[in-house]
Amino acid sequence: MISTVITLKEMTLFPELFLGISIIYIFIYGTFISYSTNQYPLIQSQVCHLGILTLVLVFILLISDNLLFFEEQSTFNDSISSDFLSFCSKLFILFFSSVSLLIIKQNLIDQKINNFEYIIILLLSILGMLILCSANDLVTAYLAIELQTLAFYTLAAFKKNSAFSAEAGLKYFVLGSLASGFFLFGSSFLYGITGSTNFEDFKDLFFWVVPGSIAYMNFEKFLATLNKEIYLQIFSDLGCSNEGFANLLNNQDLAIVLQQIQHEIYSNETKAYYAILNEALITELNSVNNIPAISDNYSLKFTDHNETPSISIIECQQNILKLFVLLDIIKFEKELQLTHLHNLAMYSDNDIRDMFCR
Amino acid sequence: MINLLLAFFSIISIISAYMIILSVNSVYSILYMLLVFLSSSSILFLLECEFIALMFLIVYIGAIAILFLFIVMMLDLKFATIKTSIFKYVPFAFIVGIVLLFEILNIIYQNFTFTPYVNSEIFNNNYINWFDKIDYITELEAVGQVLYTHYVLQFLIAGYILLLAVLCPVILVLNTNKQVQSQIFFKQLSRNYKNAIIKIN
Repeated sequence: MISTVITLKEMTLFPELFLGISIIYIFIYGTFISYSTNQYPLIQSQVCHLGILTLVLVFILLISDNLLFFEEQSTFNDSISSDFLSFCSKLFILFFSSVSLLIIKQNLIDQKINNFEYIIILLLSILGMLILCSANDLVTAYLAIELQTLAFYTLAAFKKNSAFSAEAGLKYFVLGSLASGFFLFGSSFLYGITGSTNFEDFKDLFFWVVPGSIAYMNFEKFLATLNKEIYLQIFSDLGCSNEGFANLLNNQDLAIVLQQIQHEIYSNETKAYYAILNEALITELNSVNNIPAISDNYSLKFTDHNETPSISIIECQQNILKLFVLLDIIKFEKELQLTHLHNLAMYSDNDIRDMFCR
Repeated sequence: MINLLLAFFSIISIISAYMIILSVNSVYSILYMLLVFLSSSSILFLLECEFIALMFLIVYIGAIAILFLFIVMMLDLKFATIKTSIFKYVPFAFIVGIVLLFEILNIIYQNFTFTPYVNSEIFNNNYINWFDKIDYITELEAVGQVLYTHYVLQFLIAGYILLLAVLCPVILVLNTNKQVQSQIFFKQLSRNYKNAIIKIN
């Protein structure tokens, strides 16, 4: 028999699935009713009520499904992430869209817009918005954006006897297509540099853009999955023994370590990642020069607005450790390379010191 | 068999490429261009490059040929009749053609040689690719294995986008008002230039 059952908890896109299926049902209902006879009955207010009902039901599904929203899940091959931000934005979208459907219902009747497809297109755009909220991948984000904007292109050009409406629709369409082209251009650059389209991978590979982004990075679980022997080997090769970073209290030692990393980076195996590693190395080298000579390593320094921001040694050490981690992944675990980098986020900083600085 | 099909599609592509420039009607030349794309896509299928073949179909035929078609139909070009005889251009065209042919043949003869073993009766030229017997899937199967497992969600979202793309033009264009929509086919088909009104200014 089936030993494991997929529970609703792991089906992170359940509200969207329900919305998609109910759109198709409303579509079939509307088509059969309004185009069946020669008389074309008016079902606009019915379909409007159906749309509001659908959105309210999706809202209820979203709430009841995510009572445990503190669990961050990522499903569908890491292309959908369901976390607190996506939950809140979906709540917002669904609530306000159902209210707006209530508001426009009387206007549709007054303007004599008798196409029930108006509601269908609106619901499809809301589906696109919901998928965009929880997208974790550039491809999913692009598809959701296209779904949403295609619906609005049609809504902009809906009124057939108005020239303004046609002009608006055409202008919106052309500008939107241009914008989609730029989006794809940029995402192709990102894919070319990093080798992946996942936002988690971007987070891991571009951590050095904001020096001091240590607050978002934790190292525990990830280090557990790595080969510790290789790590200790790297450290011993570079002259850092088990005491590790506790010895690196001088700027000069840090600079020496960084230069040794530089030698490792410019080897043949890491050629594909020159761009990222080079940039990371340069920012770290620059940040080493900004470290004030301090004995207290445990606090961030709050600076005035006039001075250049300086980071503490412990942050620099941890950023260097992240560089090591990246190098390790690239050199020794090529088959995993970027797909497991999202575990980097699960580690806390104290354990680094526990493992390597006895 | 594959050689036959290869020759067949190559001949079709060469002939239709020639007809693109020969045909007087612009829409016909675009249709011949479509035939060129189709036949080159078939050749690529025969060479087991299914992904590029499908990209040809989607991008070249589905976007570029459609773009050309719409532009030509929008521009409303008349039949152009060339009054000068075509033999005026033969000498110069001959020189240009010989130069280009020389270029292509130069490259071919530098990179390919004749093998004496092709039609040999002694040597057996049919070698077997043993690795393919153990583990072989076509490119199309590989694309399907990834597309329908890892990227199912994206596939289904693309399906919804196509639903929108079918629905929206119908909404924008369909006019249920019967008085506007009347087309009387017999009247349209029985038009002559004698019956039609021509403005002479």
